[in-house]
Order: sequence, then C-alpha cells, then structure tokens
Amino acid sequence: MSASADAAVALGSRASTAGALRRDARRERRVLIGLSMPAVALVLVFMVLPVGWLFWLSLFDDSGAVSLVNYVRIFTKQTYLNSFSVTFTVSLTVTLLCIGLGYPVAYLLSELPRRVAGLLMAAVMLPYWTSVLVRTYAWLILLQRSGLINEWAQHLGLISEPLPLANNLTGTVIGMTHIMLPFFILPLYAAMRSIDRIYMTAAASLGASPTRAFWTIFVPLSVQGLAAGSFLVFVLCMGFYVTPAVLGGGRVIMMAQQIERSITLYSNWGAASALGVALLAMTVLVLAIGALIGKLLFRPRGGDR
Amino acid sequence: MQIVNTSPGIRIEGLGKRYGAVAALDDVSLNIAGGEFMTLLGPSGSGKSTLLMVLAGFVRPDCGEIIIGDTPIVTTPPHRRNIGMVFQRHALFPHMSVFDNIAYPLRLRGVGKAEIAEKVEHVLALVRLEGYQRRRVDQLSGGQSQRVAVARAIVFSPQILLMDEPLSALDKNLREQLQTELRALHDELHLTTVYVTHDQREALTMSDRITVMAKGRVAQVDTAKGIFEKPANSFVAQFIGETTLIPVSFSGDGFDVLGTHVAGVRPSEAARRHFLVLRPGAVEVCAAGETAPDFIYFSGTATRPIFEGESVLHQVVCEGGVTVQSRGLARMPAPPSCAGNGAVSLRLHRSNILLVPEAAA
Repeated sequence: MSASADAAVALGSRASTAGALRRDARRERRVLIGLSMPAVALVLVFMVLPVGWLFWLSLFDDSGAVSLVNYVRIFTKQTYLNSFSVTFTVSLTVTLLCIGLGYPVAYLLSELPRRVAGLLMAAVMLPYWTSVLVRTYAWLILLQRSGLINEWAQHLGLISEPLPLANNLTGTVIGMTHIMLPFFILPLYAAMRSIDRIYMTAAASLGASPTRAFWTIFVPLSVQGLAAGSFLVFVLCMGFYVTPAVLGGGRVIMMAQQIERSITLYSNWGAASALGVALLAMTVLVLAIGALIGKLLFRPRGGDR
Repeated sequence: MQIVNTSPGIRIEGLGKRYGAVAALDDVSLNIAGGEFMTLLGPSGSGKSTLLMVLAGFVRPDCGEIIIGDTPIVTTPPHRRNIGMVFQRHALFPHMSVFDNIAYPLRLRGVGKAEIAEKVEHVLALVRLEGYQRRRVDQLSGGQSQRVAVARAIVFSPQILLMDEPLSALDKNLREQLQTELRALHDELHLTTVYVTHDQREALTMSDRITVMAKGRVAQVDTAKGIFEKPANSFVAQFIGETTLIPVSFSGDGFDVLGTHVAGVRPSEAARRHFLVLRPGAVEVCAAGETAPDFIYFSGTATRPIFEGESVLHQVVCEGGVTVQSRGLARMPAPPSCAGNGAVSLRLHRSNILLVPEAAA
C-alpha cells in the first residue's frame, strides 16, 4: 500500500470516529434530559399549573367578570394592609432573633471538634424532626396563662400576675423562632466550617486581639452564610401558617391565615388567589433584594480597573 | 524610610512541650543573634514547627523561657509579641485587597492614613510588587501571594520574623527564585529571622546558621558549611546531602570499611559506633586496580549510570551489597570502565575522610 493510500485510510477513519463521537454525545444528552423528565413533570403539575390557576382565578370578581378588584382590595382594605404589616413585622423579628440566638450557636459548633459538633448538631436538629404542630402545641402548654412558665414564675414569686405569653404576637414570635432556628443554623454552620482558621492565626500574628480578629476577619468571612440563613428564615416566615394560627390566638393574622379565612369564612376564591399571588410576589421581591444586596456586598473589593 | 533598624536576638532556654507520651520539644536551648538568619531544619516530627509556633505564641510550652532582646515573652499572648509571621499557605485575608491585607496590622496599631499608604507602597516595592495595591487576593499567583504575605509580615516593623516553610507549596523554579529574593530582603533589612524548612538545600543556600532538629531536640547548630563538612553525628550526616553511611570497625591505628583498611585515622571517641560518610560529590569512579598515595579505594561493580542532565550518577555495588553513589559532570568523559557494567574502583581523597558517631537513639 502506498503512503497516500495510508493517509486516506487514516483520514477516513478519523472522519468516521468524529461522527461516532458526535452521535455518542447526542445520545448522552438525550439520556440526561430523559432522566430529568419525571422531576420536570412533577414541578409542572404541582407547581406551575396550580400557581397559574391561582393567578387566573384572582382576575375575576364575585360576579365572574374579569376585573382587578381583588388586587385593588388588597391595597385598600385595612385588614389586608394590617395582615401585610404583621407578616412583615413577624418575619423580620423572627429573623433578627434567629441571628442573635443562632450565630453564637453556629460559631460554637464550628469551633468544636467534628464529633462533638455532630452531637450538638443533632440536638439542634432534633426538634426539626418532630411535627411543627406538636412543637407549636408544646409551646402553647409552656406559654399559656396557666402554663408551666407562668405557674412556676408565680410560685417562685418572680411575677404576681401571669405574663401574656401566648395568644399574641409574643407567643407567635417565640414559637416561630424556635421552629426556624435549625434553618438558620445549618447554612451558617456550613459556611463557618469552611472558614480556614489560619486566617485567625494570621490576624493574631499581625497584632489583632481575639475579639478584634473575630470582628474584622471571622464575621466578614461568615457573612455569606449569615445572609443565606437570614433570607431562608425570612422567606419561610412569610408563608407560615400553623404557629401563628395556634399561638397567635386569632390576634396575629398573617398572610397565610388571611388566605385561609377568605376561603373558609367567605369562600372567596378570587380574593384568596389574589392574596396568594401578592404573597408570592413579595417573596420574589425579597429574594431579589437579597440577591442585589449580595451582589453589592460581596463584590470582591479592589480588582482591575 | 527604614522598616527595621536593629533587630534583637532571641534566647531560647530549656523549652519543653509534650503531646501525651511524645516529646515535641525536649529541653531545647538556642541562641539566635540579632539580625541573624537562622533556619530550623529537620524531618517532619522533629519539633521544628512546634518550636516556631512556641516562638509565635500559638503553642504554649510546658516549661522553658523565650527572651527576645531583654524581654521574656513566654507568657505574652501572640498578638502582643510584635512578631511577623509568614505561613506555609499564604493566609492572606480573602475578603480584602492586597492593600487592605498589608494595611491590616498598621490599622490595628492606629497608624494614620497617609503613613499607611506610604508604608504599603514601600513594602510592596521591597517584594517587587509595585502597583499591586488594588489587586484582589484571588488574582495573585502562588509566588505573588507569598510575596504579599511577606510584605504584610514586615510592614509593621516587627521585632523578629518567623517563616514556616513559606516556599514549600511553590514549584521548583519559583522556589529557588524566591529563596534568593528572601535572602536579599534579609540582607537589606537585617531582621532576625527564624525560618523553618525540611528542605536541606533551602537551608544550606539561605541561612547564616542552621539548627538541625531531631525528635524534639537540637542535634547540631552551625553554619551551612560547618553542618555539611562536620556533621555532629550520623543523623545530621544522613539528613544533609545524599549521604551513604557505611559502618566502620576500628582495628590497629585505623579502621576497616568495605574490605579496605584505612590507617592513621581514629576518632577521639572510638568506643562509639562510627560511620564513614560517603557523598556522591566526594567519591570518584576510576579504573579497577588504580592506586595513588593520597586516596583510599573500594572495589565494586558498576551498574547502569543514571543520566541527570548536567550530571551523571554512577552507582557501584561494593562489598556486602552496599551501593555507593558517585556524581560526575555529564560533559566529562565517563570513566573507561563505566561504559557498560563491570568491575571498577571508587576512590576517596584522604582529606575527605569523614567519620561520624552514631546518633543517640
């Protein structure tokens, strides 16, 4: 066989393998798409369609005519506006309390050896594995007028009158903070674990006291985890139903309850749908603001001009 | 602007530190002169890093004292010791720019804005990174990161500078370049430096003096030349250079080694077990049977030589199966007998005969 014939064979086989490789890549893509189909179908049927249906319903008034009356009502009726402001206040308070209570816990966990941290983490997560309803009623037992806390405090002479701990905003916030804490601690702990402790050592060698090093090095490095936990808690709070319903004693009407009332009390699907859409929009807005803050805050300093 | 005027000496007295049953530091005493470049050299687990961490204040010793200048500091917390430190991993704060990293120790000390800018510029020039102030830490290469780390460690005029294997994460060429730069920086600043490494070449090329450590103890303190030429015992000899240690037995007024009697060489302490130190650079391959008055000879069988580029490593199996290495420049013609395998002789000049006692267990 001549040299040119050899080259031709080599070229031909190269072309044929290129085709085979392309076909192989296509097949792999098809398999991957196929594997994701069940999940996509699930989201489509149980998320996209209901939300779309909700949005559709919210566009009709009581007589069945297309109108924006449901949305107009949200922004004009005092009960709804109150509901918005209560939802916002509760969510913000719970988030701030989670930061105050959760940050030290996450810090402690991240400083401990992994084995011990694992045990303590289980303690943090234990309540999370019990039903929200059970935990909420447990708090009711503790906090109510004749509950454990009030009874004991009175026996000990710390207070003369029972404190109004349940069936109000205080009870709601206490119960929700307890339920939300694991959601806050988990991402923050993960973020803190990933901070190399050599930075603290370096800071000390440069003359920073432990307190100074904590505030100038550790806290800034943990702020992304802090933000992740905070936004998670805030968003979860906005749609919370059980705890405010039980511990609020009918005085703390958050958005989710307002929606429930619209349906069970007034069977007004239009109003309920509009509230749902508004809640969704608010949540998206909060997340968007969070993403924006994140971009501004965590844009690495310096950089090429 | 002068970063350091006079750097104090360090006196280490009877330092001890145990981790359970293991003595990381065992009665370590050491004097480091002001302005000296002292390297702590030893294998892993020799206690060199522990000693550095004790100096920096991150490890609390069980006993002993450290005196910098005239000040005992063993109970001073690390952030009040005013000691610059460079770590193995650069440990630059990832949320700060190069400028903010270097300015950090100055801001802690309440230095004014203009002075900070001036000092940062000055140290960046010292480590040859002019104009890098606004760079992000993750935009730096390994070598640049380590230069910034050095700049940050010296900008606040520390009393002394500690470096914990600062170049071990870099590739060979960069490492050698930075060795030269760090040494030049030291010659400029005369900052008392304690440098930890497990790389004997690095220690030999950079240091004023070297402290060889083994099992938490000081094995030998000497200049690079002194350590290389007069190792205190078999451990030091083994650790420095590609040394082959051959046990010797004393007889008459000399000793026997590899089937050869060497007359007229006796160490003062002949009761201890001794070794002959054979280094590839001191041993030459020659034709079998050659004799000359100033040399001692061992006969053996040459195996295939190893081509190393600029040099060639000859390996000769001597009596008792001991392999002795000899390194020659590659451009020199190979000894006649080394073209293939076969019987050759190895010669060692009498002035290069070096006997070391066995290291205490």
